[in-house]
Amino acid sequence: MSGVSLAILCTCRDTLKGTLHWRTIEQEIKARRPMTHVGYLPSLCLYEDLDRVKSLVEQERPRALLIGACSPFAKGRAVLDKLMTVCEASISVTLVDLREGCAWIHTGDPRGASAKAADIVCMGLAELEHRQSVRLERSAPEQRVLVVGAGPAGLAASEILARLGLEVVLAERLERPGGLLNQIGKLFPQNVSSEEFLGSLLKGIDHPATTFLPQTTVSRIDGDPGKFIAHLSRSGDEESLTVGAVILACGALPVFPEGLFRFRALAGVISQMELETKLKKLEADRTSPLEITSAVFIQCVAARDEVRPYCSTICCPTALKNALRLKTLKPDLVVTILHRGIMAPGKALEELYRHAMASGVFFHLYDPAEPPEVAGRERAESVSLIDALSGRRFVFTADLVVLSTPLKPRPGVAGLARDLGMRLDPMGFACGREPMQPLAAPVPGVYLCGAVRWPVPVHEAVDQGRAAAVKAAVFLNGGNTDRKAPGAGKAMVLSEACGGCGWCIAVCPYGACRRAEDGTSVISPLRCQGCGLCAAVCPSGAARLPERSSAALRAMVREIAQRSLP
Amino acid sequence: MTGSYSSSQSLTRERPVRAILFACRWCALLGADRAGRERLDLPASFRLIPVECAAGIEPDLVLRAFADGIDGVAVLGCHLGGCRYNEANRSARLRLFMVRDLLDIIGLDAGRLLLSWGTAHEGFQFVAQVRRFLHKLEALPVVDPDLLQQREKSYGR
Repeated sequence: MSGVSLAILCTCRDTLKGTLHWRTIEQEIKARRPMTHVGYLPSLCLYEDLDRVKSLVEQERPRALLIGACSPFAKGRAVLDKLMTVCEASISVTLVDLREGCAWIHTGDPRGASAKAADIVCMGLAELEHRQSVRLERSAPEQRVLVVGAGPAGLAASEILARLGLEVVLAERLERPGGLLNQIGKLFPQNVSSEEFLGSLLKGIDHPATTFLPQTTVSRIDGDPGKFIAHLSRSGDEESLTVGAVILACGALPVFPEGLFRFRALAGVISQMELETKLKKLEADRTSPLEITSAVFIQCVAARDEVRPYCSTICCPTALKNALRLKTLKPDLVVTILHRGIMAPGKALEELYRHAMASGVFFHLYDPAEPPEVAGRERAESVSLIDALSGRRFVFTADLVVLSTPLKPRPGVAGLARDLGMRLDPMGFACGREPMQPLAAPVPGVYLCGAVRWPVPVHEAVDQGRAAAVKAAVFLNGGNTDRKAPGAGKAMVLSEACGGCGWCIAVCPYGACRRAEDGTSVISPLRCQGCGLCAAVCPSGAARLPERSSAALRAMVREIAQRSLP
Repeated sequence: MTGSYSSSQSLTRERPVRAILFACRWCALLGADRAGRERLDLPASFRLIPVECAAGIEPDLVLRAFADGIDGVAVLGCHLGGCRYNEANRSARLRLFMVRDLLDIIGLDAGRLLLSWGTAHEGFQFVAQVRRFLHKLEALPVVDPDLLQQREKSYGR
């Protein structure tokens, strides 16, 4: 193979010649890089031109092939992908944008545009001269999935995974599976009994391929996609397990409104979670009477404030559901909901809201600047509030004050998120690749579902669990192993040059940089997403992106600085 | 401040501005593409280099670009908190802030290094950003690599 480069420029059906003077461009390219052949084709996005490219490549036998066409977001990407299938793998190919990035934005300056086009082509050629590629060695992934947390999301995920023929290890911190479902009696919006619902979910994990590990916490996860090593601890015993994929479904924690609205100071002031437990008992044993005459719910307690500036999404429907349950137990009970706007989106929840209104539940809007006040001596007696709409002061008698509190992220998620290269949002919930792949973490083989992402109703947690399971199964089947854009590289460390300072390990967002036994850094290509942070911080230039190294960028910059045309 | 560098230079421009834009391919490159599709007119004096992430731009690369006689370097990344690579753009920002300080110290205007996060995602934003930057560079004297080298020697290393 010769040292010739081939630059094929797409003239876009001769529509660019008003701005780009092809002859000037070619002269400039030849002046700077005499070993370059320049060819023109009218429309690379059509198949017949691809055949011509193929024959040109066969004729010239170039070392590098540059395509000057339109933006990758227009047809460029597709053209490049097609070319990759026709060209030999030994030829490095690149695409530069001469249409959107040059001709179309400099129509008033043909001279400048032509000089720029020549520069763009030379920059692309300079980049190709410095390109190296890394071969990815990929072994078959372990056909086993670790599901962290046996709440509704985790249970649903496990069921699907087992049905898809994968081995499932379901680790649960507590003795019983079910998570928060165990504390709830009924589920909104259809008022399904949570025990029945949990029963159906538990049937799903009653499968020979599923191992349920109660009282097990996941202390650390390392290793690479397809071969993660999870360190589990079970009542003091440490155990490590190799899994192909991880589904994080460890949920969230209910907040207790300590010090707010005289919670725990007055009897009868309880949190929504405590009301759930109480109602569950009352509904199971209908003989014990409900000895109250009025109940007041206060919404958005410890939520949508400075500490937790988010809407927990489940508290409004929960309050509606529980108000109706109280009404069912005792129809003459006066139930008032003090809220900051009822959040009940969707058909089913809207119906629930209307049902509550029709059943005689009172609703009052309050302003967080003038919050309701709970009064009483030893027991809660009344709640006073200034109605935000009328401005009038109301005093409600209240034997029972229910404080609706949000779910908060589990503090333990931070450690796992760091191990798995996952980002936490400012509140502390785990983030997937929003908005397109919200259930997939950036590192392949890591998925998340349920309230670990954000508070969700039970049925949505189940849906997310199932979706995450399917994604994990696709990953383990060899599909979708690398969601990274094609053409963008993976980083590597030249161990001879590495001084072992560990900066790359400190900055890598995905835990891809690790310390090898000899003290130098190594980069896991499966975890690496190619951002180049390690290369940018490396003091010795050992960490690099071989496909687009700093040397390539440097050569591109030099190409711009040394241009002869204006 | 341009410091002693500008005082020893005549303010007449003997060559057009040379500017490099590093555009994050998840954000600013979309803005650039959009500007192209909408055929918004721009001066032809800048060159765009798409990068995978703004975090991959080494301080060295920026400094050497100036040493080569590039008048301005812009780094256009995604908005802070919206990086494709978790929080990589935040660390890029911290690192490039230090480069700006360095530019001030050596007497090149720190404004020659434009750092912008999430402000070039739309075509019109990209165009406005680039026009403003080029306009600013036109008001500054050209960067003369020879002069920079002379100054480096005069520090008497």
